[in-house]
Amino acid sequence: MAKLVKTKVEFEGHIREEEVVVERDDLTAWSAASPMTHVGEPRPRIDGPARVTGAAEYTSDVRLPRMLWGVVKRSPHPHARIRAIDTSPARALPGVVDILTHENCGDISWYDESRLLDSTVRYHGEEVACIVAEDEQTALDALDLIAVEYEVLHHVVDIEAAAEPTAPQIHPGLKPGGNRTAEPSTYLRGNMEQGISEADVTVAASYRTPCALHSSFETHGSVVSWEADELTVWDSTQNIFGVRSGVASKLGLPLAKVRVISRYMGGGFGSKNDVGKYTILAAIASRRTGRPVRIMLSREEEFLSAGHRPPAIVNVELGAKRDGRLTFIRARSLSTPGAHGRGGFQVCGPFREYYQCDNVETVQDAVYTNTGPACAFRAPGYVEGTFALESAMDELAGKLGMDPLELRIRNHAERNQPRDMPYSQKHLLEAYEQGATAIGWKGRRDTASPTATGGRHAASGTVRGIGMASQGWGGGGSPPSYALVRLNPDGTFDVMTGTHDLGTGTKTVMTQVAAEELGVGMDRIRITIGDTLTCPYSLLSAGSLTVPSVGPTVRAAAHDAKRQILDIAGSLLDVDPGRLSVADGVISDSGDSSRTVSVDEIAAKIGNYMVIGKGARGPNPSDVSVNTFGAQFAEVEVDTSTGEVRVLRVVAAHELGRVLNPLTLSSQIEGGVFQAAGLALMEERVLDPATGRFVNPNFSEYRLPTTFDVPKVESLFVGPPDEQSNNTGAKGAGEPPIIPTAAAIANAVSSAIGVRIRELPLTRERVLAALKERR
Amino acid sequence: MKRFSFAAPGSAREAVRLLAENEDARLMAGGVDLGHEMKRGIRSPSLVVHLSRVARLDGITLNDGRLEIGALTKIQALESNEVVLEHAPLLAAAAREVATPQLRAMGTVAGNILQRPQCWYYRDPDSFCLRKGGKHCHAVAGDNRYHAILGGGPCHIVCPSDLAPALLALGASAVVTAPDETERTVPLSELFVGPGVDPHNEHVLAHGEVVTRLVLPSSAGLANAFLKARERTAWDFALSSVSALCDTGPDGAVRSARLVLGGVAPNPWDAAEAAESLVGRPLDDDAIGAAAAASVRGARPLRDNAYKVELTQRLVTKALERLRGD
Repeated sequence: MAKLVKTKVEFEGHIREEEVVVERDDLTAWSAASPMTHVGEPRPRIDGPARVTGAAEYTSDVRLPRMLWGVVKRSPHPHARIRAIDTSPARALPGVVDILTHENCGDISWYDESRLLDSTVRYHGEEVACIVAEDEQTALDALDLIAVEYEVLHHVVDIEAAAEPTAPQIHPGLKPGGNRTAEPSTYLRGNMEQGISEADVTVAASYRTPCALHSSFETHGSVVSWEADELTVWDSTQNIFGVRSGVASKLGLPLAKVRVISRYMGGGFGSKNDVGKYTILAAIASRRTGRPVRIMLSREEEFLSAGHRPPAIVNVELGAKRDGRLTFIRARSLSTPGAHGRGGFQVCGPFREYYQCDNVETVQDAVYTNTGPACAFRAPGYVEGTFALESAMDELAGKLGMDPLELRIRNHAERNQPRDMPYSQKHLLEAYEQGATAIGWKGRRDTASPTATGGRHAASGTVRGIGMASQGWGGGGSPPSYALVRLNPDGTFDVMTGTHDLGTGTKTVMTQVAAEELGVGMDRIRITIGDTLTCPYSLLSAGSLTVPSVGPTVRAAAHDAKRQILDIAGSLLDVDPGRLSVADGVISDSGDSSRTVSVDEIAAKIGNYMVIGKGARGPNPSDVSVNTFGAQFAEVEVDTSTGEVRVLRVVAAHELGRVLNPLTLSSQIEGGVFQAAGLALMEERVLDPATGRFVNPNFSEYRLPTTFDVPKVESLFVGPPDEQSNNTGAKGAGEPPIIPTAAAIANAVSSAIGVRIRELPLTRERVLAALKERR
Repeated sequence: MKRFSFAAPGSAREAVRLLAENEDARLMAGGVDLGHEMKRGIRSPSLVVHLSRVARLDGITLNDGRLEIGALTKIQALESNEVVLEHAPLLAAAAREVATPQLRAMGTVAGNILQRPQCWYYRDPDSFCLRKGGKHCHAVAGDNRYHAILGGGPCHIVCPSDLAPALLALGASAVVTAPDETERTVPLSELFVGPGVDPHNEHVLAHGEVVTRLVLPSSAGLANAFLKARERTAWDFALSSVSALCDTGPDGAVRSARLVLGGVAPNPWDAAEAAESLVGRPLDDDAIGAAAAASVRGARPLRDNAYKVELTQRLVTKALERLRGD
C-alpha cells in the first residue's frame, strides 16, 4: 500500500528531505532477543567459489560475437585547445573500423560545461578520440596514427596556486580570479566570538591529505550491444539504474530501451557511481558500426581519468576550557573537483558533528585545477576532515595535558547537532571503552621509550606509540528500494533486487535475510542482482546504503511471500494462518504442533500457480537521526634512525547496529583499515609542477600497501541492533572503517616520536624531518 | 604496447648475430624491466631477442674460490643457493630485498644490474628528457624527491638495482661476448658510467654485446650487511641502500672494508673514502660516525631530496653496527 510521505535522505554527509512515494513497512524490527538461524552467522560468501575459480563473468570477461575493441586516445597536455585532428592515417590501418572525435560524435554535454569529446582538454588524460577495431592490438596501433595539433594553454595543478587571483583560468564561464567552483559553502551555529572569548586554551594548525586513487581491481569499462533499437550495457558499476538513466539521457533513448547488467564487479569505492564516457563512446561506436563494442580502461587510463580522492588542506582552530570542554570549532577546507564537476564533498562534516560544541563555523572551498575529475572515494570528505579534526584534538589534548581519549569523552555529542535531533542510538562511549581495553590504552605511555638498542645509540632505536581517532557517519540507508521473492514449484525461491555486490558480500547477506524470514535454508534461495531488466529498482551501492536499504527490502518481500504461503497452509490445515509459523522449511501450528506441512509440499501442491512476494524499503524515522559511530586505535613502531613507520595493530570498534554476517563485516573493516593505511603511509598521486602531468600512474610508482605493510586488525562490534533504523536493525559498514584509521595512525606516530606530522602520507622524508625537530 | 617480432635463438652466438643485424633489436632476459618499458611505450623495439633457449646461461658454480653466476640465473636462485649463502652472503641478502617473490622468480641477475632507470620522467612516454635524447633533465625543475644526491648531473637518475651495488662491493666482473665472438671481462667498477660521461646509457656495453656471466671472489667469512630504505616494505626500489663488507683482524681492527650505495647516485656509488677510513681501526662508534659522514661527502641534493643524505648516513651507521655484531 503506497503513500506519499516526507522522508529524510542522507547520502555521504548530505541530508535532504524528499517527498516520496513509499510503501508501508509494517514489519516489526527484529529485536536483540529475536532467535536467529541465518542472520548473524559467519556465512562464507555464496559466490566465493565462482569468483576465485574464474567462473564468474565480470564485465571485462564479456565476449560477444563480432565484438569490436575500443581504445581511447587521451590528451598528453593538462590544458590545450585542439586545433586539428587528422584521423585518416589511422582509418587507413587494416582492421580499424571507426574513429570518434569531437567532430563526429554528436553534441553530448558532460560535466555541465564540457562535451563527451570536447575541443578543449583540461587535464592530462582527458578523452580526445576513440578508435574501434577488429582486435585490441590494432586499436592500440592506431592510437599513434591519429595526429592531433594542440594549442597548449597555461595550466595549474596545485590547489593553492589555482586559488590565486592570477592563476590561469580553467573554465571561461568562471568568475575571474581563483577558479572557484562556487561560492564557499558555509555553516555556522552559535556565536563564534563568544566561543573564542570563553576558551582557556586554543590550537590552530593546517593539515594536508594527498590525492589518493581508488585502485579497484577491475578497471572501469563497458561492453555494449544493440539489438535493433534496444541497447544492452554490461558495465562495471555500483549504480545500474543510474547508468541506465545516464545512458538514456545522453543518447536520447527511452528507459525501456536500455538494459544495464553488472552481475559481478571488482570494486568501486565510489568511483563507479555514474555513467562513464567509455560507455557512451562504446554505444555510439556500436550504433555506427552495427557491432558490439568493448571498452575497458587500462590501469594507466584508470589512474589518469577514472576519479580519485582529491587533495585537501584543512585549517583548524579549536578552543577549550581548562577542563577540556570545547568552546569553539572553526575549520576551513580547500579542495578540488579536478578540472570538471562540482565536487562538494563534506570535508568539514566531522567538525559539525563529532563533538558537543555550541559554537561552530565551517567553510568548504573548492577550486578547479587541471587534473582528472575527482569523484566519491569511500567516505568522501570525511576521511580528509577526520584526519584534520582528530589530529587537532590530539594537539589540544597535549596542550591541556589531558589524555586524548578523555578529551573526546568529555566532548561526547549526545545529539545530532546540525540536524538538531536525537540519535536513534549511540554507543560510541562503549566503542571507546572496548577499543581502549583491547589496545592497552592505559599502559601506552610505557611503550614510548627506546626498545631496540638498550639506549646505547638513541639514534638507532625504535619507539612505539598508540593513537586513536573517532568516526561518525550516516549509514542509515533510505528508500527507494524494491525486491521480489518467487516460490518455485519445488520449494526453492528466486530473490530479485536491483542492487550490486562490489565484492562486499551483498548477495550473501541478502540471502541470509531472505532465508531467515522465509524459514528455509540458504541453499533453497537463488538471488539475482545487477540487472535493470529482471530486477526491481534499488539505490546505488554507495554511501554505506546497501545493507540498511536493501536488507529490510528483501526481508519485506520475503515476509510478503511467507504470508501468502502461510495463507495457503492455513486453508490446507484448516487453521487460522496467524497461528502458523515456519522454520527449517516446515510450517507448524503454534497451538497444535502435530499439525504441520512443509514449504515443499505447498509449492508442489500449487505447482505453477506462483507466490510472488513484493517488498519495499519503508521510510526513515522522522524524529531521530540514524548514524554509525566508532573509534579506531592504532599501535605503531617508528625506527628513529631511518624514519620507517610500521603499523603493528589496529583495533576497530564500531557501532553498526545488527551484524548480519560477522565474516563479511570483518572483511569490510579490514579492507577499510588497509586502504587507509595506504593513505597514511604511502599512497600519493604525483603531478609534475612544470608540465602538469601525472608522473606515477601505475602500480609500480603509485604505492598500494602490500601484505607486509598492513596491520593486524581486531574488529569489535559494539551495541545492540538499531531497532529504529529499519526492520533488520542493521546499519551500513562500507565507509565507517576507513574514516578514522589515518588519523589514528598519525596520532600513534606523534605519540611515539613526540612530534606532530600534519601532512600525509608519513614518508621517510616527513618522519625524518619530524625527528630532526625533536632533537 | 607496439607490435614487435620475437626470436628465441638456441645459442648466444645466434643472439649476438641477431642483435648485430638489427640496431633496433633488444635483448630480453627475464623480461621484467623490458616488459614494463614496452608496455608504457618508452621503448618499442622491432625485434625482441629472448635468451631463454640459450643453454648454460644460468647456474651458479664455484671454481678455485671464484663464484660464477650465469647471466640468466634467476634472482630467486641467489636467495637460497648454498654456494651463494656461503661464499657471497651479501648477494643473497640483497637478492631477498629485490621487488617481490613473483618478480624475483622472473628477473635475472644480468637483467637486474642492467635495468633502466626508474626516474619518472624517463618512464613517462611523453617526456623527451636528456636520457632519451632531449635537451634537459626534467628532474631539475620537476619533482626530484627520488633523484640523485651524489654524482648527478646533467642527468639525475639513480641506480635502481639492489644487486649491482652488492656485486660491486664483492668485486665482481661481467664476462661479455662481443658480436665478433670475442670475450672480455669488465669489472663492475668499469661497467657503469655516470651521466657526465654518457647521459644516455648507464653502462659501457655496445649494442650487440651480451653479458654471459658474472664472476666474483669468495667473500666467505667476511662480515656483511645489506640494508635498504624504501617507502613500502616490499616491491619498492631503494630510496637508499648500503652494501657493506668488512674483514676484521683478530685484534678487532678492520683490515679491509667496502661500502657501496644504491639509490642515491646514477650508478652504484663506491663510498671508498668512507670504507678506507675504517681500515686499521676497531669498528667503534667514532669510526662508524666518521665513515657515515664520509659516505655522503660531496652530496649535492636537489630541492626535494635532501632527506636522502641523512637517511643514507643512518643506513651506513646501521649497516656498520650490524657488521660489528650489534
